[in-house]
Formats: sequence, C-alpha cells, structure tokens
Amino acid sequence: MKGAILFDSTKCVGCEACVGACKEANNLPTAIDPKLTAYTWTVVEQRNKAYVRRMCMHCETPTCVSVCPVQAFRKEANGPVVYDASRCIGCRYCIMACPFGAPKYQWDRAVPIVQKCIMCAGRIQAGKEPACASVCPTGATTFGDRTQLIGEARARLAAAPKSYVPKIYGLEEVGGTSVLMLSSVPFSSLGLRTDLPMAPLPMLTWQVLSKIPDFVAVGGAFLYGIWWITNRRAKVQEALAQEAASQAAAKH
Amino acid sequence: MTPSCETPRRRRTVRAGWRTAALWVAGAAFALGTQAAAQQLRLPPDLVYGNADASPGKVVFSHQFHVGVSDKCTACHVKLFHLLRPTRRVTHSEMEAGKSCGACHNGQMAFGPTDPAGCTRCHAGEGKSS
Repeated sequence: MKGAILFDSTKCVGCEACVGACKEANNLPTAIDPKLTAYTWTVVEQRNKAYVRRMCMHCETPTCVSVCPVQAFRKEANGPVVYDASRCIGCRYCIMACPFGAPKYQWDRAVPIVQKCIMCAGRIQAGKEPACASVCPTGATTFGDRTQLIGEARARLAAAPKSYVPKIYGLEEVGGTSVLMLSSVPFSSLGLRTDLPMAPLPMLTWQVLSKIPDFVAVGGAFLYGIWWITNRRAKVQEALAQEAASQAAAKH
Repeated sequence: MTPSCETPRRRRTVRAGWRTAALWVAGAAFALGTQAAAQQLRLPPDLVYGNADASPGKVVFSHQFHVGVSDKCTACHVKLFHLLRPTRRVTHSEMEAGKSCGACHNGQMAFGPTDPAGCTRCHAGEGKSS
C-alpha cells in the first residue's frame, strides 16, 4: 500500500485539530505559528472563504530527495518523505528546491536541522493513521491507499460536480504527490501553485545530467581531433624545416 | 383618510411582514444549518471526571457543548489536553491554580470553581453534561 492523504477543503471547518494532533504526535512545541516553521509542520489557512491545509505534499518523485547531497531525505515505499537529521549537513538546498516550501530550518538554534511533515511515518509503520487524519472531526483529512483515495476523490467530484473545482490537486503536479486536495474554489486562490510542471522536477536536472557523459565523450574526441591536426601540422613543419636544412647542407 | 393615503401604508406593513417572515425563515435555516454542521462533527464521547472520594458528584465534560465556545480545537489542545492519548488528571487545587479546566474556568473567562451557583455547576453527576 502506498499511503496518501486526501484533504477536502469543502469539508474543512478550520478547527485546527490536525495542527494540534501534529504537535502532539511529533513532540513539537505547543505554540502554533501562523505559517509553516520548523516547529509547526502543518497549518490551516483561511483563503477565499475556504480553509486549506499547508503541509509537505510528499511528492512521488521528491525534489528534496533528489537535491540532497548526503541523502538525508528519503521517499518511503509506503508514501512518506522522511528525513534523517543525523545525515543533514545543513546546506538547505532542500529548502530552495521544494516547490511547496515545506522544509523549514531551525533558524533559532546553534546546531539547526531541517524539519517538515513526515506523514507520521512511525504511526503508519505501526498500522495507524497519521495524527492529523486520525483526529479530523469532519473527515476533511483522510488517510488511505493513494489509488483508492484518487478513486474516492473522483467519486466525490462526480457525485457533486457543482461543489467542486473539477480537479484533484496533486494527481499530476510535479509528477504526482501523496497529498491530494479537493476544493470548491480555484486552487490558485487557496495559495497553491498552479504553475508547476506535470513532470517530476528532478527530470529537469536529469535532462542535463544525462547528456553530460555524451558531451564529455564527444567533446573529448573533438578536442583530441583538433590536437591531432595541430600537432601533425607542427610535425610536418618541423620535418620540412629539417629537410630544407639538410638540402642546404648538401648543396654547400 | 383617503384611500390614496391608506394604500402605501398597507403596502409598507405587508412589506414589513414579509421582511419579518424572511428573517424568521433565514434564522431557522441558520439554526438548522449550524445544528446540522455540529452534528456532522465526529467528536469524542463525553468525558467523566470525579473518582475522588470527596467529590460532590461526577463532572461530565461535553465536547459537543464546548465546540460552541471556540471554533478552534487548539483553544484547549494541545497546550492543556492531549488529543491522541489520555491527559494526566489534575487535582482540584491544581485546577484552581489554572491547570486543566481551570485555564478557562477561572471566574473571568468562564465561571470558576468558587461560582456562587455552587459545586453542582460542574459536579452535576452523570447524564448531565456541560
């Protein structure tokens, strides 16, 4: 099973039970920051008369995993993108690379680490739901198998086409995410990015990196060719000069 | 009075009547709506406090009632009570010092432990939740 979270904005009443449960499950300080920080891994924002959750989207092909030079991030087979603080060197490339702005840095610490929602990977391992899904009193946040949740989302769109924007956010964005969202208002008005490519972002890097071996091989052969030609010319010149010199010596 | 004077007045009364009716309908719809919304919430069952020997009666805490006080679960969770596991019960004197229920039930934000209405305001016994 590949775990995923379906967030239905039309069901959310903004009670923030998910935020509280997240704090408790992950032993975070109880003070709730208005935006995502290293100590608040999910927030509920009110935008365009609707509520929307902010959290790590747990991409299927995560950019943070791709860019991390020490493999501190890892995409688990059962859904979550997890982080190993003991490997982190604090380069913060993940923070720059994430299209959703999920990883946050402990700016107030002497030895900071990066923090973000980990979809309660430990709870999933133990057969439980993520804390946010387990406490949601309206069923706005639900946890389940990604394929089944996509089916559920499609069923909701088909059952009440007038109460939804006909789109499942996260189905294809950046190659798909393990957090899927439904909304009654355009996703851009909820502050979600709608300019993202439908292909995984690490593909951009791969498109360049995959050409480098060819570039090196062809470039090397080309440079060797130039060197061979110039070198031969020099040798010919040298041989001609020697020949001329020996002929001149024979005449005298 | 001439009929020409009466007509606008009657029209005004009729219009006012309609307005009142519309208000009532809207009010009823709103009340029903909020009730329906409250019923849709999947809330934990009532919590029963009061195992102490000297307790004048069990205290029953109702989530259903308290969600009407604040629209954020985070008003009480997680700084006062856990969400995922039971919270350690505190003594009455700890509560009077501002822990647990006493964070709000302090006589200022909500009625306090020394409320003139007496202990039964909280210690109502099982079956009566608030």
